[in-house]
Amino acid sequence: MRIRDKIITAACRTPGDIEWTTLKIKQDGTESVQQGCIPLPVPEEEGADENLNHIQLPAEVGETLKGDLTVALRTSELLMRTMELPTADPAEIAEMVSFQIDKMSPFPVDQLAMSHEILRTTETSAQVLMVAAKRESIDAIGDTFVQKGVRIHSIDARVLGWLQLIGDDGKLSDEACEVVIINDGMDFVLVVMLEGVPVAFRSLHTKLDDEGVIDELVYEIGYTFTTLDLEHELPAPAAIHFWNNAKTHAFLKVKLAEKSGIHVLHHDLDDLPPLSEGIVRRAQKDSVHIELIPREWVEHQNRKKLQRQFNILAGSITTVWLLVLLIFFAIYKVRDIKLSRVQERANAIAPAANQALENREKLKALKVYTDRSDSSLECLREVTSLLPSGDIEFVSYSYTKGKGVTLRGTARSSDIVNNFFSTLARSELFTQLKDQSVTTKTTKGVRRAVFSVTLVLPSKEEQ
Amino acid sequence: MKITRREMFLGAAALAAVLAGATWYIVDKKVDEYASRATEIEKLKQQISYHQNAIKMQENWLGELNDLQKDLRVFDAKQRSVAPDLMKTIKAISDKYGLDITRNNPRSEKPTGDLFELGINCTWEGNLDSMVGFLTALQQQGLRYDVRSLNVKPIGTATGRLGGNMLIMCAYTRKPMDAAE
Repeated sequence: MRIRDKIITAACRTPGDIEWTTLKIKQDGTESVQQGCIPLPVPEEEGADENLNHIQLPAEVGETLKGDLTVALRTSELLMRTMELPTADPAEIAEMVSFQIDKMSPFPVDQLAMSHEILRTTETSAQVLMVAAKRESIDAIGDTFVQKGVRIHSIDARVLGWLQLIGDDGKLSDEACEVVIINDGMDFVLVVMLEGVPVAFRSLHTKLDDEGVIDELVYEIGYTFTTLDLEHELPAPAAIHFWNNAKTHAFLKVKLAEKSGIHVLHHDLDDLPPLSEGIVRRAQKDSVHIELIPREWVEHQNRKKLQRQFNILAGSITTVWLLVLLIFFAIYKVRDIKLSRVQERANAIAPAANQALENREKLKALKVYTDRSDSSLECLREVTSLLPSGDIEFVSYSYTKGKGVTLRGTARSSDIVNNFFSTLARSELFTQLKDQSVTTKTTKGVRRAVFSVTLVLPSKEEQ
Repeated sequence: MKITRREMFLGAAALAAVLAGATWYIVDKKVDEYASRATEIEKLKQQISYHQNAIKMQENWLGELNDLQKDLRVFDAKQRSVAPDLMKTIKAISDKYGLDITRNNPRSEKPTGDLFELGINCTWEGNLDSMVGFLTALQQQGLRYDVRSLNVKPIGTATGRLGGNMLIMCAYTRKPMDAAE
């Protein structure tokens, strides 16, 4: 079976469109990346806040987004929590995650899609990011894409995509505690990072244009660190990394630095690759990462995969069967054609051959007439010429062409008969003497030798 | 449709079994024909080879056959029976040599293409000279006559008279009248 190229696509909502990145991994290991945007039919102002489950997707989505599709959700739609769990066993971690999410979520577990990502492990523990989203939200996104003929393979978090890109860009410290604030126009999120690993996510519900945004940010940072202090012994944050894709808000930077007392660094999101590329990079990872896919979707995909495998298997079996039959009938037909050709050849020469055979039979018949070497006359001549002198006479002479002569007669004495037989035995005309018989009988007082002999002529086969 | 991996393999195995059965059903009927065709081809090839040889060999003896046939008597193809003519000829020869043919018994014609053979069983009486003369005269007719059997017995005691019977095979051709020589 041919191994197909693997295609991973990520699609992310931006205020005006859906930007996407497709990574094609060929069989030989080479990768090619394609990126693009699909403009949204709704005006930017009206639909900027709507997530993927509430927008009308353009028709070209189905044609553009190929392969295993991953979409990303905003932090505000996710329940994200990091926790240190006392085990490094993936199976145990999975069980604990379900339990922990059930504990902290206001919604019952059956109404949630859950996933987790192991951020860091030690021998006895693991730092795990647990993520949950409402099933109705996930299902709505799925339905939105299904309407365009696209089935979602995985759902990730936007903020994790950005952190992937920021980390890949080398903008995160592996040692210090930092605050990362990301505002991409769709998502406004605060992340506390410790030694390059996120320890807290907070969705911010304010806007940069709001008057009290600085106070809000300072409050959120303070609150977050206060709550985190209960779990972690966090050092004071070394810096606030402020990422947005608008022009630098210099006054915000200064004010935030003043009010928080933390050094603020501003970065432009436009300097990074598109968010979808960050999501693709995450999707490409072999390790466990966030995949907010309901079990039914996974089952559906597995079923579809199984059905495809079954179709391929059944198709292969049928193809092989047809091929076998085709080969058999081809061989059969070839023999049929061969037989017809041989038959034609045989029919073509049959009249001439039959004439030749008939002529041969005629010649064979006539040869018998022409062969006088053992004719009746010749045999009679031979027998009479070899007859010894004295009192000997024939009683009967019986000749059959090709077989021989049978003689019966009488003689004065058996010596004469024996001499006659001896002479006949030397004859070149006859091959042998058979049934020789000489008896002496006395009839009416006269004693005579009565004889009989068969003289064998050469057979036709011998000739 | 919801199927498990096990069901998939079972389904595939069932399909394979059904197709194998169908193959057996289809192929089994044809195998005998296939084998008989092979035999037929082989027989035809042997026949062709035999015929080719016959045609090729004919070149060697066709001239001889034509020469031999020239000497044969030709009768009309439409003539119902040639036996009376042949018996008349034999009678004429026997009369010439003093051999008395007391009874003629013609057998059925044996055709080989346009060549025919007819056996006539003759019962005769005469002496040794007349018999030898008759046989010699027949032999001098070339391949028209051939004595296939001859039985000789003396008639009476020391009379010198002989009697018996002989089977004379007569060879001739039958052709349409206008082609007859």
